[in-house]
This record gives sequence, C-alpha cells and structure tokens, in this order.
Amino acid sequence: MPIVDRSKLIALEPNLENRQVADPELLQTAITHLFDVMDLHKDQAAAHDAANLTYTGPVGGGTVAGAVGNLDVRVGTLESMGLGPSATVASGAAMVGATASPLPQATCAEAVIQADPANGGYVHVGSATMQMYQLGPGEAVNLKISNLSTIYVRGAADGYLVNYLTRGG
Amino acid sequence: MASFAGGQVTLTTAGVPLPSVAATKEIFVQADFTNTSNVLIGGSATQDFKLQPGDALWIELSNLSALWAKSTVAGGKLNYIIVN
Repeated sequence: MPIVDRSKLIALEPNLENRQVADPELLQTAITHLFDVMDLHKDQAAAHDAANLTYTGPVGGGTVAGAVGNLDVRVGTLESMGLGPSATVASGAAMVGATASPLPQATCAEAVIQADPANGGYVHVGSATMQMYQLGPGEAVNLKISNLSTIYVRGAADGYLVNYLTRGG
Repeated sequence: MASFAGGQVTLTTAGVPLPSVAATKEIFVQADFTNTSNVLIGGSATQDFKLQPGDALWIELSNLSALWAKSTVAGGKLNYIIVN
C-alpha cells in the first residue's frame, strides 16, 4: 500500500502532477494531507503487536530495507537448519565397503539414511571418526544435517547399499 | 491445533509426483501392508529410497508433490497423512 494516496493530492490540485502550482493555498492543503497520511501509517506501524519480534540483537543491514532483507535470510537459514518444511526432495544410493566413507556432497536440511532391505547385515552410520549407529536391512534414521557428506557409513562387509532421501538444500 | 488430511495413491513402475497437497508441518508416507513389492520414493530425478510393505517415513515438506514415487511392481499403494 503506498504511503500517499496520489489521486487525492491530484484531486486537491490538478496541476500538481505537472508541478504547475497555481494556488499556494491548495498546495499547502495537499501537503498537510500528505503529512496526515504519513502520520497515520506511522501510527499504524507502531501499533502492530510486537510479540513476534523477539530477536534480541541488532539486525544490521544499514537501512530498514536492508534489515528486512536480513530477516528474510535468517528465515531461510532456519529452513536450512531443518526448522521448517522444505519444498524439494532428492534421493540417491551409495555402495559402501567395510571401510568408512562419506556419502556424496549434497546440501540439505535433513537426510533420511536407509540400509537397503537386501543387505546381508548391518550398515554402520556416524561421523568421520566413528560409526557406531547400526541399521539393519531396511532400517532408516532421520538426521538434521546441512550436507549429506558429513555422514560416514560402512558395511559389515563390502558391497552393502545405502539409500538416502534429502529435503531442502 | 494440528489438522490432518490423508489419502492413498496407486503406483506404477514409472515415477510420478504425489498429489499436490500443501503441508505446513510434516508428511507421513507408508507403503501399504498389502503391497507385494517395494515402493520407491525420492525426488523428480531419482527414486531410490525403498519402503517395504508396512514401512513408513516422515519428512517435513511444504507440499506432498515434492515427493515422487513408483512401485517395483505396478499396483503398489502408498498411503499418506499430511499434518498442518
């Protein structure tokens, strides 16, 4: 919604649009109206419930527009942290051996890791240093991570299959 | 208060997007217990995640249609619940 109703100003002084002001009194009326409208919007903005504005630090951004842009970015960051539903899905599969290896690079908000139902034994899931979480054939685990490659997997034997589903990213 | 919507899709061996249903919280999908083969789910490019009969999965998506599915044998069914 524009701050100033331009049509009302033009109605007050038809020549205002062309900056040919014939009557200074009418111009003064128009400007007064303009400030009234601005005050109204300022008051309306100030009256908004602040309950949802809980950010405790400076938003930054230089200008109000920049700060609002930063807030948008932060909402996006929340999604990348897995704190909200995503619009995209991808899937894949990786053959794993008895030695731990990372899953492929893929940015995401969450990954679901599944040991293929046809595997003959456990798949072990974890970090680069340790993989202790066991997935039996067909079992899966949800992990809120930002990149699939942070997950390391290994099989009880070579040739096991790990399937994955990611959202976001 | 959360609200729910649910449905069922019968799949073929070709991947298709699930119906367009908006979600604000999460989506549960389940391979029907009567299926005789695996259901495969994923995105539009590949569907690699396997659901055996009765297996279920939950995922936070803004629309069910982001999820694509197919069945190893045509006729497999996928049930879903949308939580808003």
